[in-house]
Parts: sequence; C-alpha cells; structure tokens
Amino acid sequence: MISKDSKDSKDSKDTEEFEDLPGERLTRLLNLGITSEAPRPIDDLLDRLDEDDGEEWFETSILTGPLSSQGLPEETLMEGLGSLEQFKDINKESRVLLKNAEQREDRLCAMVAYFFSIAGAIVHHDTLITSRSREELDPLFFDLSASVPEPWPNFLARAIAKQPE
Amino acid sequence: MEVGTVFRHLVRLVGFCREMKEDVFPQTQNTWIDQKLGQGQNGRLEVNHHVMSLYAWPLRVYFLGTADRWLGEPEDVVQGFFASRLGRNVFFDDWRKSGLRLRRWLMNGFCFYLKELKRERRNDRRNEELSREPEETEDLDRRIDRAFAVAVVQRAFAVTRKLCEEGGFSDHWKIFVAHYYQGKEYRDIVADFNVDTVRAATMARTVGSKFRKALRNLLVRDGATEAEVNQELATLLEAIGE
Repeated sequence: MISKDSKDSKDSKDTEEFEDLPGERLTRLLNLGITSEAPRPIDDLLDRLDEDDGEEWFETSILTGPLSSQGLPEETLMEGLGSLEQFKDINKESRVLLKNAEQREDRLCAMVAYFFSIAGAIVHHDTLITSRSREELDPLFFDLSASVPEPWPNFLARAIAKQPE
Repeated sequence: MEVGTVFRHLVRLVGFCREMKEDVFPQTQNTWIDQKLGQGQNGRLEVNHHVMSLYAWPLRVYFLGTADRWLGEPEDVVQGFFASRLGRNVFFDDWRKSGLRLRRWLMNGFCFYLKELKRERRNDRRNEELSREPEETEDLDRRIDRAFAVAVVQRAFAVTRKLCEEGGFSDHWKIFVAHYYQGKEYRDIVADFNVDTVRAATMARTVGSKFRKALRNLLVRDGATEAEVNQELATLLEAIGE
C-alpha cells in the first residue's frame, strides 16, 4: 500500500534549494500567506476550472458563450483573426451577461469571455480595451493560465508578456 | 515505565482531548483528501505521497526531540510509522472524527507507534541500558509546529515553481525568489531581467499570489477551514518566533 515512487526524489530535489529557512526568512514567507482580502470574483471561476470536469466545462463555455459570437474562439483568439471591434463586442456582451446572469455557470462563462477578450485585444492589437490596469490584470491572467487547459495557458502568457511600450 | 514518563503521556493525552473538543471542524473541509480517497487505489497513493512528503520532516524533528532516539535512525522510524499506519483503511476516517489538525493526529499516532516500538525493544534486555531516558527539554508541540512551518513553506515553493515553469513564467519565478526568499531589493534584481522595478514588483506579486494559494491549500489539507487559515499561520509564526 505504501509506495515511494519516483515523485519522491523529484519532490526532494524541488525542496532542496529552499532548505535554508532561518527565522526571519520563514517569517517573511509565512506572512505572505496571510490575507485580509475577501475572495475575488475570479476565485470562483478558478475553483470551477479546477473541478474534475473543469476542462470540459471550459471547452463548452468558450464554444457556447460570448466568445463564440464572433466566430470560433480558437481562430479569433489564437490565430488572431478577430478585429479590435470584435474583441470589444465580445467584451461588451460578456459584461451584459455578467450583470444579468442569475446562474453561477452563466456568470463564470461571461467571466471567461470578459478576460479572454481583453487578452485577445492585447495580444493581437496591442490595445487595452478596459479601464483596468495591467498591474491588476496580469495577476488575473496568470491565475487563469494555471487553470485553463491547453493551448490557452500559452495564449494568456503572450498577453502578460506583451507590455505597453 | 517511570512515573514521570507516564505522567508526561497523560498530560499530552489530556492536551489532545482538550484540543479535540475545541478544534472541531466540519467533515466537508477535507475536500481534497476525501476526493482522493474516493478515487480508489491511485487516490490513496496520492494521499499517502502527500502525507509522507509533507509530514516526514516534522515527525523526524519531533522524534529527535523525544527521549526515544535510541529506537533507531529517525528516517527509518518515521518511514516505519507511515508503513504501519497509512495502509489502514480507518486511518483517515479516525482522523476526521478526531477533529485534530492532521499534523497533531500524526504526532499522536506517532507517539503510540513509538510506545509499540519500545515495548518490542524492551523485550530485548540488551537494549535496557540504552533505554534510560533523558529529560525532554522542549515543548514538542511547538517543535513540530516549527518543523511543519518549514515543511509547508518548502512544499508551497515546489508547487509554485512547478506552476511557473509549466506556464512559461520562469522570470516571474526567479524575481519572486530573489525578492522574497533571498531578500534582495527590486533595484538590485531588475538588471538581470531587463524590466523596471515596478514591473519586477508586479511579476513578484503575481507569483506571490500563487504561493499564497499553495500555502493556504496545504493548511486546509492539514484540517483548517479557509476561515481559520490566518489563525493557523499566526500559530506557526508564534511557534517560530520563540
């Protein structure tokens, strides 16, 4: 029943570099874990994506939600076939749905379209189509990139990498 | 067994009972472990791996702080404990019923395991001389909390680094480590990454939020509710502050 697989040695290697944790350093890092913030709206989306059927849910969400209103999401977002106006339209539609959604799933679906339309406009048109700052958006893109299925993490990474001149 | 030793065990047991009463939490908290255990053999192996990789170090430190060091090499004794207990189907059910943090539950079980070992070894008269116990000099609860604090921070580092590497955020990770682990100022970091200090701070904060989530998840797996995690961190900070 108890088996030590190859992950053990990998785990040991992962933590070896961080063995030097004197009190001051440990205190700094533990303090980083303390938060006074209420959960962010996006945390609910991240939780949904992390569920067992999260990948399937995401695929359905982008194929049926606002992201699909301007053509296939992969073409619009990954291949850059969407115009700036199309990204703005998706963004507007997602905000309307976000405001009016009564079901959690609809709200989360709108949130996906909202963030992906912003990321698409950054990646393909170098344009920020929201009043939110990059300082606010980048951590959200990063969090999303850790939860969405392939090939979307790379798309979000491109948005983060593309900083204004 | 000496009267003093019996008394110490009783005091510890009373402490556990008090903690059980005050520290009750709903079963739904242990979502991750429950989910994994519900997935059969593979899930159980994953839970065992999590427990062994996170708690081996705290138990080792705990063992070195007891008078039972004569029982064997710390690593062997701890691995023997895992082999003895984690295979039992009721082990995690009993933990949930106990209401204890997992580290305390493991420490509790480890104490009993050491007693079992001692009983076995004392049958061998050759070990009698070795089994004279020196006085314990440190509060073992705090000792295991300190070791657990180190273990969770290291594990959270490993989880966060993996996320960053897989997501193509290696520079974000390096800046985070340079600032938060090595304690460097952003102005001393930026030259290596061709970014300004504001951007470097943003990149480090981005990874910091992942690290925070990983750290808090580990404490939830240990038995705290999300609402209790801040208090749990305060307990660990207090333990390392001594």
